Amino acid sequence: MPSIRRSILRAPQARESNRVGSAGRALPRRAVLSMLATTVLAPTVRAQTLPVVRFVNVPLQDWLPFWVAQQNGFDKRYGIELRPVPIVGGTQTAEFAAAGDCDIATVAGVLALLAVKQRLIPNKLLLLCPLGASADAQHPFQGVVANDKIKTWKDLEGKNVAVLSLHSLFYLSVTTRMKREQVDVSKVNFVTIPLPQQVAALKAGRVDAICVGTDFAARAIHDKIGHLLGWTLGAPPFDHYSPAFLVANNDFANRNPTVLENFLKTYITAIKWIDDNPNKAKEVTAKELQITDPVVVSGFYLEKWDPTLAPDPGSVALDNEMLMGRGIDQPIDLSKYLTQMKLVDNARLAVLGK
Amino acid sequence: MPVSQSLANSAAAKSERRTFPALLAPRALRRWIVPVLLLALWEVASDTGAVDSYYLPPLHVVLKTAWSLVLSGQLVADTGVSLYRLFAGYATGAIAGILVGVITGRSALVFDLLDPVIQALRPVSPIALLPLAIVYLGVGDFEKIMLIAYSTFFPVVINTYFGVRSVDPVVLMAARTLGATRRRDMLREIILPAALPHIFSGLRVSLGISFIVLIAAEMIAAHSGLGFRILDAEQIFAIDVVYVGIVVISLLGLFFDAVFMRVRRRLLPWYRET
Repeated sequence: MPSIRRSILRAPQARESNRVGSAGRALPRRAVLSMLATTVLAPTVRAQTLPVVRFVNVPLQDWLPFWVAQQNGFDKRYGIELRPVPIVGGTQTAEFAAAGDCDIATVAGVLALLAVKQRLIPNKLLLLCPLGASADAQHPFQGVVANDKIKTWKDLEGKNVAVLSLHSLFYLSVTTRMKREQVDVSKVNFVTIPLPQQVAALKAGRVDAICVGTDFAARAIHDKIGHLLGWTLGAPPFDHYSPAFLVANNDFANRNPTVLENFLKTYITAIKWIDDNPNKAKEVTAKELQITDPVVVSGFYLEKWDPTLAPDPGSVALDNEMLMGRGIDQPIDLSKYLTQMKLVDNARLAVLGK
Repeated sequence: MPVSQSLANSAAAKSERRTFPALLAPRALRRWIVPVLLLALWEVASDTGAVDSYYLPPLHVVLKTAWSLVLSGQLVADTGVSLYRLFAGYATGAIAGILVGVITGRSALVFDLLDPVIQALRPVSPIALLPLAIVYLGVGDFEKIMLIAYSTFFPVVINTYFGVRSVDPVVLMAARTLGATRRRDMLREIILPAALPHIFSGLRVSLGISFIVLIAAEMIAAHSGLGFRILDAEQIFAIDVVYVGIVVISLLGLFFDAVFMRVRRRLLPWYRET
C-alpha cells in the first residue's frame, strides 16, 4: 500500500520530467520519423492520387483490353488506375457493378437486354458502349467440343450437354445453332456446369459435349478429350456478331465524368494496341488464362477487336431474337440506352484522331 | 392472517407470475409474434424505400410472383424434384449413420478402425466435393443424393455412437441378470431405446444440413430444383424469384422440423429435453 501511494505521488513528477526530458530529444526523433514516413509512404500517397477505376475481372477473353491497359500502363497514361475485382463466374458481372462492388463491367448483350427489362439499366447501371469485340469466320469465339461418339449435331439428341447457365450466351447460341442443324432441342439434356469444370466432366464421360470459348476448346482438343463439333459464335447466324457491352455503375459515372472519359481513352488505346499487336495480345490472353502450352496458345483464336466501339444493331436484333419467350416478350431497343456515345466519340477522337 | 389465506394469496401470486408472459398471447400464438413482425418490417422497409426494393422486393410482390409460379406449375415441379433428392439422400445418410454408429459404439475394434477416417472426413464440406462429385458420380440426381447422404451421415453417426456408449452399464447388467442374453435382444430392447434421444438429435441436426447441401448441389450440374431456380433467377436479375425460392426453402425447413419433433414426441414419450 505505501509503495502504491508513493508511486501515485511520484507520478506527476515523473510525467513532468519525462515531458521536459523528452523535449530536448523529441525534435531530432520527430524529424527522423517524418523523413522515414515520407520515404516509405510517398509512393503509396502518389499512387492514391490517381483515381481508381475498379473493373470486375473474369478469366475470359472479353477482359483482354483491361489486361493490356494494365500491363502497358495505358491507365496511368490517362491519369487513372485500373484495379481488378476478381470473380469466379462470368454471369454476375452486372450484379457486381449494380451493387457498387466495381465501377465497370462487361455484360453479354443478352444479359444487357434482361437488365433493361428488370430496370437495372438505367436505374443502377449505365450502358456505356459496345465491348469492341466481335466474332466472325476468321475470329470464332465459342463452340461445341464433343466426345468421339458425337459425329453430327443431330447426335446430340438424348445426350448431356454442358453449358454455363440456361440464360448464358453459350446456351442461347448453341440452341440457335442446333435449330439450324435440325436438332430437336427439347431432346437435348442441358446441364449447367462452370466453364473450368466442363472439360473435366467431358473427360470423365459425365457429359457428351461442352459449350466453351476457343481457349477451353483448344485445351480440350489438344488433350484429345474431344473434337470440335462446330463453332457457334463465328458461324451463321453469328458470323458478324458483337457479343457484349461495357456498363458502368450509375453513381460512379455521375460522380466522375472525367474519370469515365479517361477510362474510355484507356480502353480504346488498349484495343488499338490489340489490333496492332495480335500476337502479343494472344500472349497476354494466354498468360491471364494460364495457358502455358505453346500448341494450345497457337490453337485458340482472338476475337476481332475494333477500337471505334461502333454499335451493331444486327447483333442486338439477334440477342432479342434469342431471348424472345425466354426472358423478354417484345424486342428491346438497346440504342435508346446508349446515352454516353458522345463521350465515347470524344474519347475516340482524342485517341485515334478520327 | 390465517395460514390458509396466506397460502391462497401466495398461490395466487405464483399463478399471476406464471401467467404474466401469457398476457402477451397464448403460447401457440406467441411463437408467431417475431416472424410476423419481421415480415411486416420487410414489407414496410421495402415499400417505403428504406431498403433498395431491387435487392429486397416488397413481400406482396414476392407473394404475387410465388403465386404466378405456382399457377405455371414451375414452383411445384422444382419443389418436388428438390424434395425427392433431399429425402433420398437424407434416408441413405441416416441409415448408414445409424448402422455405423451402433457398430462403432458396440465394438472397440471397429471404432478404432473407422474413427480416424470419420474424423478426417467430417470437416470436409460436401460443397468442396462438388467438382469431384460431378466427375465421379455424374450430373444426374445420384450425385446430389450422395452429397446429401454424405452430409447427413456424420452428425448421425457421431450422435448414435455417443448414444450407444452412454447406456448405463448398470442397466445392461440388470438386463443380463433378467435373462436378456442374446445380442439382438440387448440391442433392440435396451441399447437402441436408450440411444434414441441421441440419434434423434443427430437426425434433426442433419436435416438442416441436408437442406443447405441440397441447394448448393442444385446450383451446379442441374436443370431443375429450387437451388437451380434460385441461381437461374439471379442470373436474369429476377430477384423476386430468388426470394420466392428462399421463402419456400425456409417454409419447408420449418414444416419438416415440426413434423420431426412430432414424430420424436410420439416415439419417445418418456424423453423431455431440459
